[in-house]
Amino acid sequence: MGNEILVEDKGNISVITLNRPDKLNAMNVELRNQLTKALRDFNRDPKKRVAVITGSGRAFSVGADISSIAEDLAEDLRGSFYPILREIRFSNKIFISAVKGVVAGAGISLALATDIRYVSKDSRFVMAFHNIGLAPDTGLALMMLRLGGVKFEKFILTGGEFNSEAAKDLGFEVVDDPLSEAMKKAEEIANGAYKSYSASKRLINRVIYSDLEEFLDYESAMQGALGKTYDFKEGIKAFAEKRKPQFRGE
Amino acid sequence: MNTVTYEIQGNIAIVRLNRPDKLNALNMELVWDFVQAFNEIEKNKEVKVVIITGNGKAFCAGADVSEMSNMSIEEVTRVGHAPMWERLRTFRKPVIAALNGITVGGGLELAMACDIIIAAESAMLGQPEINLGIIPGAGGTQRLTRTVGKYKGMEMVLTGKLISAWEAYRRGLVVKVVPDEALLDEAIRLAKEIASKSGFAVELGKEAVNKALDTTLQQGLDFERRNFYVTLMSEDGKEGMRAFIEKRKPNWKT
Repeated sequence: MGNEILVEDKGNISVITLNRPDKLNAMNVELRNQLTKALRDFNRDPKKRVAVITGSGRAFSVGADISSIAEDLAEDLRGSFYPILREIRFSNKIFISAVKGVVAGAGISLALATDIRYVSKDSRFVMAFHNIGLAPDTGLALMMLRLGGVKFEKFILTGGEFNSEAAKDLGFEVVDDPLSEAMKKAEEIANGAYKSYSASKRLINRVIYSDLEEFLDYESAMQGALGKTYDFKEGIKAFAEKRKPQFRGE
Repeated sequence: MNTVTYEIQGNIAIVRLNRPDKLNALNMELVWDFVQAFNEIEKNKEVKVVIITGNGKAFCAGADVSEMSNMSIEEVTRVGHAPMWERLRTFRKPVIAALNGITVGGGLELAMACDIIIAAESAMLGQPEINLGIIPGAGGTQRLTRTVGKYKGMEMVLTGKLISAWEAYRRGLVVKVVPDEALLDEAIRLAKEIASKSGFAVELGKEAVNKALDTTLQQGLDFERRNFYVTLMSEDGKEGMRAFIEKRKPNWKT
C-alpha cells in the first residue's frame, strides 16, 4: 500500500488528506480502502473527536478513478464507496471537509457526508456521471436533494457544473482558506461542549439519513445495471480516447 | 422440459418459469417440469442456492384457469399442484424468488413457498382468487397472513386487490426492491453471498427459520438448539470457528 491517504495526528483532531495530487485525488480502490481504514482507526480511537478531510494539491477529489473500475459497479459501490460514507455519516464523531479546486462525483458525496463543509471561492462542482452513461451514485441524489432541494434536481437528472456560490445551498461555507477555517472549527468543537455536538449530529441523522442504507441498496443495483450498457462502455472508451461519446440510449 | 428451464452458473441454479405467452400460469405440465428441474438440481452437488424467476413480463399469474376449470374435483384434490408444493417443502437448499413482474394467486403462493423474495419495482403482488368466486389454495391465506398480519391479509384475500413491490417491501413480504433491469443481477449477488457460506450451516439455518412458522416458541427454540449443536459439531462449524480464532478465511467443505 502506498500513501494514497495521509493522516496527521493533532491530539483529539485528525487531519485526513486524500493524497493523489497528480490524479486530482481520483479515488482508485487503494485510496478508497486506505480512506476507509483511516476513518475506522479514527472512529475507534476514544481520544479522537473531530476529523478534517481535505485533498492535497489543486483539487479536493474528482471522484471515482474511472481507469480502475470493477466489472460490477454495484460491488464497487457496496464494497468500497459506501463504507467511507458510513464511517463518516454514522459515526458519533464530527467530520469537517475543506474543499478547494475541482470536486466531482463521489468527491462531492464525500464532502456532503461531512457535518461541516468549507469551500474556497473558486471551486468547481462537477457532475459527470451522465457523460459516461451512469447515474449519480454514492448517495449523491439523496444527499443533494435533501440538503439543497429542487435547485439541484437538474444536476442529478442530467449532470453539469456549479460553483462555490451555488454550493452555499448545500451548506458549504465559502471562505478564503478552507483548511485553516476547518482547523479553527475543529479546535472549537473538539474543545467545546463536544457531547452536545455529537448528540446533535445523531438527531440530524434521524431526520435526514434514517433511510440512507435502503437508498444505497437501490442506487447500487441501478448503477450495476447501467454498468452493463452499451452507453457506459462507449462513455469509458470515449473518455480514454479523449473524444465525444456517441450514445445510443441503450 | 419446456415450461420450466434452468441453467447452472457456478454454484447457483437459475430456474425460469417458461410459459411467457400465458404469463407463466401454472398448468400440470409446468408442475411436473418444475418437480423434475428441482429433482435434478437437488442431485447436483455443486449447486448451493437456487433462484426462481419468470420468462417474459410476469413472474407467474397463478393457476392456469382454463385448465383448472376443466379438471374434476377428484383430480384437483388427489394431485392438483401439490407435487410442486411438496417438492419445495422438502428441498433443503435455499431458494430465492426474483419477482420480475406480475406475481398473483398461485404465483404469489409460489414466491411465498420460497425462502427469500426480492422484487423488480414494477412487480405487483396479490391474491385475486376472490374475483373468480374462489379462494387461494396453496398458502395465500396462511403464509400471507403470517407475514403481513391478519388485517392486511384479510384485505388482500377478500378484495383481491394487488399491492406494489414497495408496499410488499414495507410489509416484509419482499426483502428488497430493485430497478427492473437490475433484478437478476441482484438475485445473483444475493445468491453468491449465501453460496459463499457453509452449505450445511445454510441448510440447517433454513430449516430452523422455517420451524418458527410451524411450532410454538418453545418447540421452535428446542429445534433450533438441536440444529445449533449439530452445526457446532459439523466439519464446517469446527473449521469456521478455528478460522475465526486464527484470523483467516474459512475453507468450507459443504
